[in-house]
Amino acid sequence: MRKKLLLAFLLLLSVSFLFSGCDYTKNEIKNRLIVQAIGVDATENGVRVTLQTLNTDMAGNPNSGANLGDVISSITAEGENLSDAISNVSKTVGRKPLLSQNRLIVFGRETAEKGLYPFLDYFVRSTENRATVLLALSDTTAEEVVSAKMGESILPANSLEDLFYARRFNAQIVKEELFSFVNRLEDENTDAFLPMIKAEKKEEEGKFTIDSVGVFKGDALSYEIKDDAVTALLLLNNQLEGGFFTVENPEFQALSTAQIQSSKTKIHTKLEKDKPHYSVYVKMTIDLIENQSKMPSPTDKSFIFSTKSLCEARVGKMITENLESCFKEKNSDPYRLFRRLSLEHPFYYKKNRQDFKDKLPEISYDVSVEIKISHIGNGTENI
Amino acid sequence: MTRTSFIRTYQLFCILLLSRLLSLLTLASIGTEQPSSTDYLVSVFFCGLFILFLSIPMLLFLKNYPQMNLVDVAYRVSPIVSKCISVLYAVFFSYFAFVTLSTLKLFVATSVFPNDESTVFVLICLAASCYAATLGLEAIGRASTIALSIFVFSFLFIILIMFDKVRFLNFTPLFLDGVAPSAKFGLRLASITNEIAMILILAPRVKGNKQKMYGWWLFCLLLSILIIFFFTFGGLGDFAVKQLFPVYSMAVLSEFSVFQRFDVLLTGIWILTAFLKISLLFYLQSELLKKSFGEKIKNQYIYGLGVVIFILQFMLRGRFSNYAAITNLTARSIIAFVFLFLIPLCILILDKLKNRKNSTEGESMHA
Amino acid sequence: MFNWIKNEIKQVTYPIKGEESAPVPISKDLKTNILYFKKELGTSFDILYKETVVGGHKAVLIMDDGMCNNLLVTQQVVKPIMDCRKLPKEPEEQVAFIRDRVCADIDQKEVHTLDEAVKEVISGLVIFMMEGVAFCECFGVQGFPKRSIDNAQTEVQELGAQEAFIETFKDNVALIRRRIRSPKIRFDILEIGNSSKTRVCVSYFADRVKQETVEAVKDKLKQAQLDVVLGTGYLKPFLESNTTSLFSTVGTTERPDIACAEMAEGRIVILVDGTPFALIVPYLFVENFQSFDDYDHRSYYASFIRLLKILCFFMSAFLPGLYVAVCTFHQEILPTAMLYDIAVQESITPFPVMIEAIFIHFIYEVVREAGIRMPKAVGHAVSIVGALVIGDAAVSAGLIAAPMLIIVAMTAISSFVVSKIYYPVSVLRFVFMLIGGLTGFYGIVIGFGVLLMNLSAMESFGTPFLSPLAPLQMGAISRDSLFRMSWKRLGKREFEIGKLKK
Repeated sequence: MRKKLLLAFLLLLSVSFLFSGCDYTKNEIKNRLIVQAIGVDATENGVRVTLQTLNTDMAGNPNSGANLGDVISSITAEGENLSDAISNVSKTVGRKPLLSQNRLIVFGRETAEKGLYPFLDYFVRSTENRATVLLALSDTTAEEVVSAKMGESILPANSLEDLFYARRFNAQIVKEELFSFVNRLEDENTDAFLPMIKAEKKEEEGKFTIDSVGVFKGDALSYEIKDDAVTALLLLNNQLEGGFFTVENPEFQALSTAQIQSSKTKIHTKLEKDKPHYSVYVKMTIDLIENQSKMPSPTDKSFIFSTKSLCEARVGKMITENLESCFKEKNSDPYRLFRRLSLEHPFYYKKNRQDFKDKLPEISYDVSVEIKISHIGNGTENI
Repeated sequence: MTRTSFIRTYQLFCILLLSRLLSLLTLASIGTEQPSSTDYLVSVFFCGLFILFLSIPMLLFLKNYPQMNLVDVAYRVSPIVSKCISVLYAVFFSYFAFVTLSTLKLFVATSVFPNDESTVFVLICLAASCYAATLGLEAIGRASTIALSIFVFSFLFIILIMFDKVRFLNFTPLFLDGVAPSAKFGLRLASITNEIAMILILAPRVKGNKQKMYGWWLFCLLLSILIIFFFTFGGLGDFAVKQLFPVYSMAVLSEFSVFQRFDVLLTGIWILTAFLKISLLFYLQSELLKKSFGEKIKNQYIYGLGVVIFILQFMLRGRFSNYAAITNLTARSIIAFVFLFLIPLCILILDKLKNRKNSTEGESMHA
Repeated sequence: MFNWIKNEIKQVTYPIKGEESAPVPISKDLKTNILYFKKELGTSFDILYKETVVGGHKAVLIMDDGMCNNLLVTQQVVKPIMDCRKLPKEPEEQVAFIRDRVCADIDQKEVHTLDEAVKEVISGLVIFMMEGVAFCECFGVQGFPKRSIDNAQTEVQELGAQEAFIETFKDNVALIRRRIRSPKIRFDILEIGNSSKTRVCVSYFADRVKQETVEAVKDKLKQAQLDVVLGTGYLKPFLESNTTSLFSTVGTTERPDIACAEMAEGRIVILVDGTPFALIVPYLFVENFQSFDDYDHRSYYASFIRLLKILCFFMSAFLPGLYVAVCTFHQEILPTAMLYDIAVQESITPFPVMIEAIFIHFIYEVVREAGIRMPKAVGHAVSIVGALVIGDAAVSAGLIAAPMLIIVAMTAISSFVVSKIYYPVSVLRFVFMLIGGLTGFYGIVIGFGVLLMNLSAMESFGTPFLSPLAPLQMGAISRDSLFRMSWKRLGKREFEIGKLKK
């Protein structure tokens, strides 16, 4: 009997601890602000944050036909640092932001040029934030990208996110996640990169394009690369998933377009007179999808092989030119080539960790490309 | 008269493996030098060596006294020594229960409920563990079998997710910063082992070949640590090193179709493991004290320890530095060495000496 | 004050001891015997006394009118006795003659004490006493009203037999004997209940059950200090495991085929007179997911259904709690589109998600209980009102969100799939909703851990309740627990519950 009374007393005590001041509703879904995209711009006094949020407030019961109104809204707030700015958002809406649904973090150009370390720590440290959230740069300000409008509505973040997933069929789109970007930043000999989004406004209609890729030195934006350079970047990082490229065939007076089905890059390293030499070997499978020529579409073997050789030369030249440009002109290594030395020549890696950037112009390389043409279109025989 | 409960070797295997893997999953990178990514893998071998060294007295015990535990053998030396051993190991298990709960609290406060008070959650966990400990060894053994199956499934799920994220470029050369960080981390991994003491106490209650079970346990443990580290640092690279709970960060990446952040489910399974481990530690300390000092009120030691740990947790709350103090590498290494190696070895030697003395006296009497 | 509370509780809960007296032997004086009967049985109108003279000696026939078959009494007892001419001289020899020659073709029993004789009368036997004889004969002419064998009401099987137990345990025994004609089956009778003296039959296979287990069951039944036993529910608590739990370690069945199958696996079946349900011990947790229909289907489908039932169990117990936990604490799991829809719906409701969940599940339980208690004619109205109230009106009025309604529906349907454990699961559901709302998914995990430990600690007469999951026995799991093998394997006698690992 005594035991039962003691148990009852303990239960009452624990209940009083549990329920007194225990506001379990503060984290409820209806009390949170669902954030879809975050834009970060550095200001003179701190940082300006633009949040693209989903509007879940209802004027009436949707089951009775009430209209939701604008689904997406954007809120801007400033603060001394990111956490201060994000908490200031609550002053406008009275709700706590929910960052776990965030799809995209955009940094303004000027912000990136000043350096991203001050802004990355918040996202790395936050447990709500996903480590796989996409990062991007804005050609102007992040606010412009995140709150860009199409007509009267804001362009949703999932449309932006879809842009990055288009790299499956576009060889000039780069996708970078937070943990991968931080990983690159931590490596002192590798330069990180992020896709650059350009927001265009045309008669009240907003449009985004992933225009180029911004390459960082340390945590500050250093230079941009475009077009073939981006393709070369993807090839050398073994991240190319698909895309198109065109080659001119003077012998057949044809302009052929190839679609990349798959691509694999292997890079072997060796030391030649205490200098690293990289052998880049690219194996690619393509489909010939279009052939612009004055003659009827040739399907003979000589044309196919000629086109194949031209494609190989094109890819090889793409890679070589960009390696040349990065190593000799920009003194930059966004391809993690030095890191590859750690796998095959660990002693050299350890010895030259501190000053490898100085040795970049001395690096030699050879590029070989093997292309296999898988299909040449409908109704014709595959080779 | 209560029936003595027995478990089988595979149940003990499940209990010990879960207990040890939990320590790994909630391993926080505090207070020790962080090795580079490849060196984490190497530290597993150092850990194995240290654990093997620490387990030598335990293996000798199992060979020479298969049906007796440490307290029983100590009783043969002297009843007072037996009581001292009981108290010492009860304190040892209580300490580990406290540390496990503190680690869980830090983990919960950092990763699970960063914006809420975690003390309430810890209180609930403590109360549940107290209740579970009162149910006995058989219940813990049976529940561990099921919990390990769930754990293995979650483990395989993580591995499947991380397969395409592993990049060999994330690994650094071997011993990038020398051997010392790797060895130190291996020592840190070994110092959180309390399973050897569990075997020393539970040996007579386990049916089956205990040495074989231990061999398999050590193998599975080292393999599991190796795999977890491989995927954590191979997938996340230096990002993992920056995180307080690197293994948890790996779980954060888990996504399936449109559903994301499966770390919630995985963390839940780890918390289940923590609950079982704390229950077992409570049970062990209660059994030790009950054997030597008896029990006036049923389960008094379990509830008593629960109250003590709660008060300590309440006092420590909000102070991150205190956590670093209780997980200090030197202190943990010394505790592990004393309780897992030194004391059992001393008891073994004392018992052998006493036996020799008794047999010598017996011979002289016959003569 | 505590003493006052103690005394108040004592007054109602302590048993009132009945008067116990030594057995009274049958007297040679017939009047004494008749007076004893009248004293014990009072002036009940159904107790009939027919005093007569047989063979020159006074005799009496005593019977309970409602419990006897009057035709049998007349034709098999009264008439033969009355028509008897050549009787021995001595009264004892006369009684023996009547027993062995005159009424030899019906059940008989010789009784030497008046208490037993009273018991036999109220059990539906006719007793015959004679002046100068210190014993009496009881003739089995029971004809009390009973139900005919009908379909099972609670365990409906698609392809199985359509017979079910009825209230008379003798018929139930016959239903079992008919199915298993093995000489190894035993039916041991006990009498439980100080006043009701209900007959309880412990049935088992002698070569498949340990005698210690049978004795343990009998001891536990005998220890049951009950005044009346009117159903199996009265005896169940006395056979349960020592560990307090929501789940029962005693199974029940209404079907003789299931009882036979359980006995063949080395279990003990307990039949209680007056109730069509039999108790089964030892009973395991996995048996809640088995039904007799499984054994009529192909093994692949049976295995699929088993797994489906297990999934339904988890859904019915955990789904509302998980939903509350996800909406309150772990919104990151849900995809954005789903999260947005739920957020919009929840934004119009006045209550927090946890309160909403508890409220709507409570209403569902009220409607369900009303549906069971209502007369069948009005039952349809209840289902319509329930559907309208819960379904349409509550959502339109903005009291609850539509996703919550889907959760309730899924939970309800899932709980009916595993109807054997409906009651513990419906309580667990509320507990997990509370836990999920206060501490999130991690609290639910701790709750699950506590439940797992509780189930692991339970034993049913020496067999762990979670067998063969824990202690793990892969053979038993794959044979007929989580999966069901084909009859080529299942038909072999290789599983006995007493031989499971402990």
